[in-house]
Amino acid sequence: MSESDDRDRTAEHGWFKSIWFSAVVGFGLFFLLSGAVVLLSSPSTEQPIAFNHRKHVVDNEMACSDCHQFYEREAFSGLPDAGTCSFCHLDEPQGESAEEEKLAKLLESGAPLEWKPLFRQPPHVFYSHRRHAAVAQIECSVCHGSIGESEAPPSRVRALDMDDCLGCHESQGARAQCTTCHR
Amino acid sequence: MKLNRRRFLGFTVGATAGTALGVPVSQTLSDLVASMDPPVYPPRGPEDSVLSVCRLCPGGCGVRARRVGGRIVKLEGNPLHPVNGGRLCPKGQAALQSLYHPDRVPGPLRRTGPRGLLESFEPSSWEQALNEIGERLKLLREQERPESLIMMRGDARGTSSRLAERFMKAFGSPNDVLLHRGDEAASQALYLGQGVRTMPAYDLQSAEYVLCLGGALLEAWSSPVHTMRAYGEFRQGRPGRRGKLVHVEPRLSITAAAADEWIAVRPGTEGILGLGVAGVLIAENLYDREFGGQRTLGLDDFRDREGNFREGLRTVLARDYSLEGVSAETGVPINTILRIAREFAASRSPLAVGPRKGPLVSGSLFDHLVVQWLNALVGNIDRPGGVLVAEDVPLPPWPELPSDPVADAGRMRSRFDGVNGEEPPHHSYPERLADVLLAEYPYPVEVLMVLESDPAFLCATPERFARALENIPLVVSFASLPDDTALLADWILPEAHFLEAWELDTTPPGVPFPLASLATPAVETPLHDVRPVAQVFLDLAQRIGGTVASSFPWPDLQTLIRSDVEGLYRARRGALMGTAFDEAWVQMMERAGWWAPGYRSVDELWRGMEETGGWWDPFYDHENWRRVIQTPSARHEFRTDILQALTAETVARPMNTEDNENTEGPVDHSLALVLFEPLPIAGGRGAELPFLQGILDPGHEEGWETWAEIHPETARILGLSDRDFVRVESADGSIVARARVTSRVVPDVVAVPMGLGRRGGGRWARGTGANPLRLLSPARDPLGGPPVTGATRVRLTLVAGAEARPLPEGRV
Amino acid sequence: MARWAMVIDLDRCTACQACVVACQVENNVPPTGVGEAEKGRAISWLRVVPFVDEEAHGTRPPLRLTPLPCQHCDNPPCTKVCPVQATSIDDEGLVAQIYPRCIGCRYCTTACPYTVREFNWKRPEWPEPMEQGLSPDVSIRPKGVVEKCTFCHHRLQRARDRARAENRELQEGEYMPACVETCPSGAMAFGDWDDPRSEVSRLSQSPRAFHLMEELGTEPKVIYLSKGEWGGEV
Repeated sequence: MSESDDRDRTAEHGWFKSIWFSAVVGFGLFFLLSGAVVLLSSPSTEQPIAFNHRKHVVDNEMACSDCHQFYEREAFSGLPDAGTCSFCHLDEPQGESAEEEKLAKLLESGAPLEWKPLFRQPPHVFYSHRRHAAVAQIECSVCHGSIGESEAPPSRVRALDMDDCLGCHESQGARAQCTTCHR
Repeated sequence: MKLNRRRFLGFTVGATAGTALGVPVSQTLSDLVASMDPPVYPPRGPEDSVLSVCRLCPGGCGVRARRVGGRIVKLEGNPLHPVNGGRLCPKGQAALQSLYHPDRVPGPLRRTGPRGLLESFEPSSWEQALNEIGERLKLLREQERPESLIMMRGDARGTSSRLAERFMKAFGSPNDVLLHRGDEAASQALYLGQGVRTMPAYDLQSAEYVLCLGGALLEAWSSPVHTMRAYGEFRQGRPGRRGKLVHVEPRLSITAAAADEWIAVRPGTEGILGLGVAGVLIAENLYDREFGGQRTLGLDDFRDREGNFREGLRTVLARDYSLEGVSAETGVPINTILRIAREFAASRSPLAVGPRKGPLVSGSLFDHLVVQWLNALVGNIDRPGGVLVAEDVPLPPWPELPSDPVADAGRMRSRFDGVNGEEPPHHSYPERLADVLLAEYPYPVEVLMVLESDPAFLCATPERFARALENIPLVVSFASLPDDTALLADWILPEAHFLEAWELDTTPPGVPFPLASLATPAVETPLHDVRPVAQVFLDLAQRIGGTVASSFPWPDLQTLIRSDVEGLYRARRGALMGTAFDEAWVQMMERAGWWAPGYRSVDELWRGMEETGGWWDPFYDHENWRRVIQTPSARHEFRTDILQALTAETVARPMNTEDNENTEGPVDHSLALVLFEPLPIAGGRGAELPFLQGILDPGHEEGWETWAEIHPETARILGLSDRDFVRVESADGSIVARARVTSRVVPDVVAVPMGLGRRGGGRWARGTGANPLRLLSPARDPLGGPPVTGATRVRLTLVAGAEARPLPEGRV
Repeated sequence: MARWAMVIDLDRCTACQACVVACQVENNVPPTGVGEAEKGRAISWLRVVPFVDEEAHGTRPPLRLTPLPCQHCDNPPCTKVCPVQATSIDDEGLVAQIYPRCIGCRYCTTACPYTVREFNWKRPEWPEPMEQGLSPDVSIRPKGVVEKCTFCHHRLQRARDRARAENRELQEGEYMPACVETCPSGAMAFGDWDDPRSEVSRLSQSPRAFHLMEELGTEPKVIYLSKGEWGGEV
């Protein structure tokens, strides 16, 4: 097709047809794009305190269970409440960061510490931390990654999906009936 | 395609339009597609359990509340509790909904508008409530008119009730009215026969042949779970010995469906059938001659203490209740009566029960007497499988009331409802109370307090009752849901839910061993600004001051309960609740005269009660005649004089006989009204919980309405079809119900369930169903019993169109 | 591997429906109002249904009230018709329902001869503060999926979790559905049918034992014990 043909066509059929066509394309593209953004976007998670795992786990050699107190006894793992942080941070500052000052103020006010869970199975899944961590002796980092070395909370994590679980179950020969996990 | 300016402009406009439309459309889409809803995560947390006692009915089941992170998510039975052994009835299972009910009264409410509307109430505070009410009561004391305070209560057992009773005594008012709870006729029959004032306990699990004269044994029986457990054992718990149940009733109730035989009698004639059976036992010498000869009086003619001649049962039955006569009245063939009587007598352990259907349909005294006499005739009194009498719980007496001339004078005055002759509390009925209040005699009433009952609903004349309350300047209700009576009050002081408060509950009716169940609060703080009733009385007493205040030396409810438990410890008997093994051990010890309770101090007893659910004494000393028979003659008495006084008034005549002159309604097509109480809504409680509304009757899947069962023949004659709306009309009132054509009733009868038709009770109870109490005549059993339900006749007419039950606004 | 079965003794059953309500509370079933109930849409995983006994004569009551849960058939008709494999039978005989997979076609509901499957016609709603009573062990189903009795297998998950953590086997009576636990007359029993010493095995050999609609070949794992006659043995 030559340019002159285009121009001819345009001149023949009216300029509005070409506008309509591109308008429709634009409409369709952006309609779907915006819809997808609305439906699929998950809000980025902002934690009350920008917790530095590295300082606690690597530098101070704390164990995961010092703050996540339930994974050896219960199905859920738990997030530290204000009482847990108060053990060390209420009376005197442990460091010099602004975040710690923020924490101290929060602890003094007596308000609850409301962490937003990053790793959360959908409610129709039964996952037992006790079974995996205490009985099967799987390291926390196998599922949670190297979060112990992070210096700030990630705003997003790659959600674990069924394939991740099944992959490990199959390779380890663990039971993988629907009813093992779904409820 | 080449991009030129026009195309670019078109593209941009299109893109903007696309985005502008895309966002809201996709949001609407995600609203519509429910599977895209954000997931709901009920909070998790560490788990534990707390023991309490269910109070949705008088059954007294021990409850174990499962808590997750401090939130109660499920109720189960307490496995160690001797009443229910780890089981719960549907009401107990639904009790969680009553804790979290959205329409619970959130705090003290004060009326500022016209009576009868929820909108008339404004939130207030406990301070203001206690001040205002305290002032009012103090004024009454100063004016030396303490009798102008009246209290209506529905329960006599818990610590709250006992405190309320003491409050009235200390205040100086004789008007402590215990509203009828459905146990009165049974207690009266036991008293007339054995001279003891309590509820009979039937040892169902050791019986082998049970003749049930109309009683809802497997429904809203005194302690439903306890009875059902016993029934399970009765049937299949003893290898090789299966109990037989014969049920007599005009309706195929749930108990009848479970029975081996359903003897369909004409309505109101269950007692007559019983007398027919009794007649056979006597005529054929099948009764227990040893017991009859040595331990009864009145079997044969005799002369009483004053030298009067008194007819014996033998004479009365032979003359007035011949087999032919009984068969004609009841509609039961003679051979069936003979067979049942002979089977009954031949059984190793025969037991007669009945006729109570529930707290509101408690059966006539006539029928209760017959049941008691049948058991006496076969000698099954105080024997395993028979009629037992529970011992009292050895709670310590509370300190003597301080002397107070105002209170003494007040208590000497006659009760405003004219009930005399017995120490209060004495049972009374809302209908009569309404009459007395309207008459404003013998003295005006200033303050009315209503607790643990809803008399405005449980009344055959609710409009009259509402009017009667208008004469009272201050009405206080302790309801936790705004029920019919609360709507008429000036103050609603919401009581704490049973899961939110301490309580020490004692032996439920129908349970043969003394027990004390400890309820621990299962939530750290109550969900709303509520207080246990006991606490309110303690606070009020302090406000009033003087001797009233010093009558209550306990600062709070827990301290009071603790002092009661100290008394249990000092009683030196019984044990903590435990397993079957523990029970057997304690029984063995006590039989030998030892006491080995497993606790050695009050602290240990208290902690043990918190951990196990309570204290009990499983040892039953059978055939201790001096304890269980306390009549003047020291024998079981057959009071044929009482029977004959009752006969003329209480027995319904069958329809369509030649000499039928006693009908109150029109003679054509009038049917006998039979009332029954489904367990889920028995006692007028339960309609507020949606799960209970859905299970009113297994044959009636929709629930949520009042229905009227009629036989297909009757329906044909009246021109009615299944599921038509009908007006059920008596001489005293009318209701609309849905007709259910079924052969579960005999012809010429209409059966209507009780428990629906409330104006209050929250969103699910309000406006659902109709209250058949309105159909009853307010006339009473001459000995003060409940309305005689068997004698009401009604007419049914088809209702069509607009009058059919409308769906209340805003209902889902 | 166990094979989970239930025994319902109709001679003990009093049709009190405690099992019905216990199931609803345990499994986060939303309360429905009168409007939904009238349309027959009230959700109840377990129902007590009236069977009319046509052969009853004389004084024998012609009504048999029978609790009817999902029968967890060994040859289930429902799993065969699901187009998306949202329902399947697992290695212990439990017929599972996986809610995220369900597309709400209700083919399974039609296929089930016992009509024990329920459909969520509307979004579940709990008026505040009733949502505080929700159990974290059972998922909340959205609108548009089918649900049914699961033999409370969330209790099995927790019980097995506990047993494994304590390094032992699951014991008899450690796992039982909510209905079995609450039944006041002890009419229900539950356990491993493959274990010859279990109560379920013992009761299944009773001469009173029968299945519902056995002729359809569904091989249900709910065993009923008929009401015994006078003088009948256990």
